[in-house]
Amino acid sequence: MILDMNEYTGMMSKLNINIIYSGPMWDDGIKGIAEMVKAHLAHDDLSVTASKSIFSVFVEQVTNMMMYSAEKEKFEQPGSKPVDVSIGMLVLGHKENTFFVQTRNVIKNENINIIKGRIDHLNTLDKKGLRQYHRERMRDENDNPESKGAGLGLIEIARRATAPIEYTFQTINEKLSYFTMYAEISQTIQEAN
Amino acid sequence: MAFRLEREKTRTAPYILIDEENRYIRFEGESYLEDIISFFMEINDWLRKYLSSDFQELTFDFALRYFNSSTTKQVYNMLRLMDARAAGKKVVVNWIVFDEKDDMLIECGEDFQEEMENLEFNIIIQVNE
Repeated sequence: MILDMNEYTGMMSKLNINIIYSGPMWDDGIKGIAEMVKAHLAHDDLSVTASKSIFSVFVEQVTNMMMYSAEKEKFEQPGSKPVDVSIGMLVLGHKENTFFVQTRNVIKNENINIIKGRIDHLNTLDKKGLRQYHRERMRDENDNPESKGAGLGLIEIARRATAPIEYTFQTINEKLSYFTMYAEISQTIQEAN
Repeated sequence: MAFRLEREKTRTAPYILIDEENRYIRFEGESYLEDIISFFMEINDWLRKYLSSDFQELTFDFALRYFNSSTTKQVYNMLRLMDARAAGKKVVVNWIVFDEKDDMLIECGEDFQEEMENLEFNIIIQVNE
């Protein structure tokens, strides 16, 4: 039976959602969504700092999900072997002068305190402090070439966000939880700095 | 034979040129959502070899417009490698920014500049007409 699309568009506009995706985060699919986000941002009349900040937060949140989602699915692209890809959900939204990126993925419960500790620490730092902390972490990571630099991704999100990073953990069972992260970027970021 | 590597850019991977004959490296474009460690492996292998040879000079034009945090880390590591061997040599990094309002890129260049001790690090604002 045909669905009433007004219900969907109505819900999206009520929740200030521009782009929403839920499912496997395979490389080419995510690059396609990134392309869409970029086009969306180019359409709005944003400063270079605002549009790059929003795009950067999007890229780092998605990368975090792709690396750390504890929920995987076999995914097969035409012409290549099936690979395990992360499952996750992302939303890009816009209300008044603020853009937001919200992501959700499954994590192992044993990682909750690590993630919580990292974000809480970043939220105590101001922009100058974050810049300094980023330099220190870069120096540390230089001694550890195998690291993918995930800590740096979270720092990047905190540096570009114009409000503290928000998050929740929702228990699924004794092993797993949903981790939801929200970061917002004010369109007037340039004047704020 | 002097080493040469040239890679065309894609939407998410940068244009890369390593031209040993002219002692020149250039990055251009954007870099994100790529498997960055294997991507930089070949570049770093060559760089280590070159830097431990009896080289005199090297110029690195860095002209990426946008790059993610994993790329930032790889670039920083590259610069540290270069910096460690730059004393008494002519090692020049040109951090090229195409928009004078691009604070993110300029700030990152300033931070890298301050971290380096031996190499010459120039931040160049190059606004194309």
